[in-house]
Amino acid sequence: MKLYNLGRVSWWESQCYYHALSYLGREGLIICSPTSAYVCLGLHDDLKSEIAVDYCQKKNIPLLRRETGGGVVYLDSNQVFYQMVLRRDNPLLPLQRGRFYPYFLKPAILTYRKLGIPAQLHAPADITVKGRKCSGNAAGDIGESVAYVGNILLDFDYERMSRVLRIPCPEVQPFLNWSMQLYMTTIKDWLDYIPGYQEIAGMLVEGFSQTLGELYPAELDLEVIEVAAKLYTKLTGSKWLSLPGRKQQQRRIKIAEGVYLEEDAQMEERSTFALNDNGEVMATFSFTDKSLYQLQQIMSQT
Amino acid sequence: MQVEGYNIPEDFFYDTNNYWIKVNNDEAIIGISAYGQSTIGDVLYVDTIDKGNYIKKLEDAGSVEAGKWVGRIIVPISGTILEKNGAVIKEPGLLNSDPYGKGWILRLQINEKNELNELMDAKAYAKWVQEQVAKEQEDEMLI
Repeated sequence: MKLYNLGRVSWWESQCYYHALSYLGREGLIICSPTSAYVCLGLHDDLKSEIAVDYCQKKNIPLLRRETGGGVVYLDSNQVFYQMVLRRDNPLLPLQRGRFYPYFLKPAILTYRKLGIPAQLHAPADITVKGRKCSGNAAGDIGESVAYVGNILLDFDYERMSRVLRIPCPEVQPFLNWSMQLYMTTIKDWLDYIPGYQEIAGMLVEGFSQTLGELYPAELDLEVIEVAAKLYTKLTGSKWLSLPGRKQQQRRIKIAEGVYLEEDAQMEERSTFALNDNGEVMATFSFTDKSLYQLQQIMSQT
Repeated sequence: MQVEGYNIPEDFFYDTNNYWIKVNNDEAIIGISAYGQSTIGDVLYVDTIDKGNYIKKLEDAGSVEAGKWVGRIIVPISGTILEKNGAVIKEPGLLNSDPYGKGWILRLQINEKNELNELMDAKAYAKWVQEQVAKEQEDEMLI
């Protein structure tokens, strides 16, 4: 398989090249990292329900809707991406696309482990360290291809992410921030240094070589670059971004697999939020009482 | 008939993208087979193009999201959309729980009747499903 180890690329290039390869029906593995931050919606995310659009505009955070699944993600230069494109007729690819994740995620898990971080697969598509999510992954059929994409978190801006997501009232933001910190982790939490792009990319390439066989270093040709440029216009266009998506009766924000911050439909006050971990309510937040004080107490205990 | 634990109604047509097609004179109802829905997992979101649109065979008529994967709804025959199933759009899980009943996706006015000759009958589809299940078991070995 061809390997496109792109290094640092612009924010839109970090999404558009795997889309371009997919539409061209050309298999390949891309490793890259964006030079600046952006917000990336899943194909069926509803822009107005999910994103604090005003905040993103104010902070000049661009938006892009990818053609793979999963939810809204905040992406920046503290993340390294691995993106695999396979033709739909590739015999490696199971009909049940989710069953390919263990194979696809093995190199990323090995990368964490080489750094001494005990990462493991949390089915279907999360990588976790001691129960905390450290990598987000998604897949989608694009053209005649299937794209699998994921990231390694060197560090994460929880504050920024908690402001990018739409919440019904500003008081929920610290609760969201805290919930993400409780259920997510990054390489920075485990090492006394943050590895550079080259170190992580090298480990990923080694891992993918073990699972895919020999990788052939390649450079993007003009055809891919031109298609990617056209896709940039499409994937960031206002019509595409505003496509109708999943609507929610109550606001529900996914933190990790099985973990949600959600409005409590059982209670009359819509201002009550619960942190739900696979059906178990871990914490609730209602700002009709002295909840900020309570929240601070909960946070100080964790 | 039952094949590998999957129900395959005998009076339907099928294609290799696991769509079933029930023909009634010049109309067809389209859905995803029991085997097909099992390969994509729990469906979280379905949307299709609207009534009145003409769509060619194998063109994109909408999309499906299941877990961490998004795929396209590719119509197995050409035709004009007469109706999209609002119930399945509202409750995508119907596609899993009742694939041949409440989980239907689109009703079409058939445009090219000869395209039906290119589809599989239940017997041929059952054989194809058996081959796919065997292939999946081989994939399991690879991974």
